[in-house]
Amino acid sequence: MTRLVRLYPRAWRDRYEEEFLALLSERPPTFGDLVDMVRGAVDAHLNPQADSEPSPWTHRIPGLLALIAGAMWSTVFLAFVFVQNDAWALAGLVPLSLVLMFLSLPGDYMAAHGRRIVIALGVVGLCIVIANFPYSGVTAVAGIAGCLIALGGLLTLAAIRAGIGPSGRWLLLVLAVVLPAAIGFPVALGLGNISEEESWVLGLLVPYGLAWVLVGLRMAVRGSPTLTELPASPTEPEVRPA
Amino acid sequence: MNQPFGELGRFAEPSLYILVSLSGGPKHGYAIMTDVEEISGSPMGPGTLYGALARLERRGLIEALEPVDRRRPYRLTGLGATTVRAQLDSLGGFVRTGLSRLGGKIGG
Repeated sequence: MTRLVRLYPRAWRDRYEEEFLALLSERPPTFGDLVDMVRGAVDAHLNPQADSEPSPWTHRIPGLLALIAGAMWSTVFLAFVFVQNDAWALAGLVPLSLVLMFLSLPGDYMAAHGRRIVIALGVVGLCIVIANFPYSGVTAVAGIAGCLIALGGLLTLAAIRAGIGPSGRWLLLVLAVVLPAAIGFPVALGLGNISEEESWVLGLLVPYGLAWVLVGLRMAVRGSPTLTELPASPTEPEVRPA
Repeated sequence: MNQPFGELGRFAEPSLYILVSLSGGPKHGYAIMTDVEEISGSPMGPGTLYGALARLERRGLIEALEPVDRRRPYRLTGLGATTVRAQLDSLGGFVRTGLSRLGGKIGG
């Protein structure tokens, strides 16, 4: 019997195991009870109720994905700073890190924020279409703006999931997206004294990767449960007039 | 079922039985199980019982008392009493409506 109880998460056992075993000693379980206990154990893992419940390891996966994605992104663009054009060999890691960033926002989170994610995908699609237009100042600016919105949106969603407050999210956006773009585009467009051929300018994209490392670390440490979980505080029932 | 029962999913009905059982005074797990079986006419499994107890405790509808031997009694909180009363009132209205609509058809 104790083997079946071990199917329950540790925090659940810390809280309920003693009395649960006492109950089973008073009422030897039937086959139906054993099936019910297995269902209960699965439920206790999927919907932890005990306050001391540590985050299941599955809740840490999104954070780890975000962390790896951020590290890959940062490595590629740091390489442009140190080895310049040789860094193009690593360029394939950029789309891969974008995929990992997207995958760090799965499940119920996707459902809860589906509209924003669809809009972000639409913007990315728009960027791809615009990129295929004949080059002009307007299409270039629109394409760049679209990409910045998509990247900023993705980072914002991850920051929300990591439990970072509005002011922290704005700070991340400014440091990782707005500021690098504000410095990088004039340089890349040749408005400064630096040639647009200088690939180290791409190093300005490093902060975006570092922001994902930060967000990923926070998500992994805190765990990242689904956003549809109920608040811990009880709510008063609606009181209706007799 | 109304809030907060609606959000309890498959534990909504067992939770209501448990709250009704605890309305008669504090009980430990085994006593709740036997009482619920008497009230509902069907047994409640231990996994379901503790799944519902954990949810009710987390929502502040019941509270755990000091264990006696290895058995820990639970009792209804004020919020739990208000909630179960509202739920039973709601069910009572539903039952009365159903019976009054059936009234003309019974024996007819």
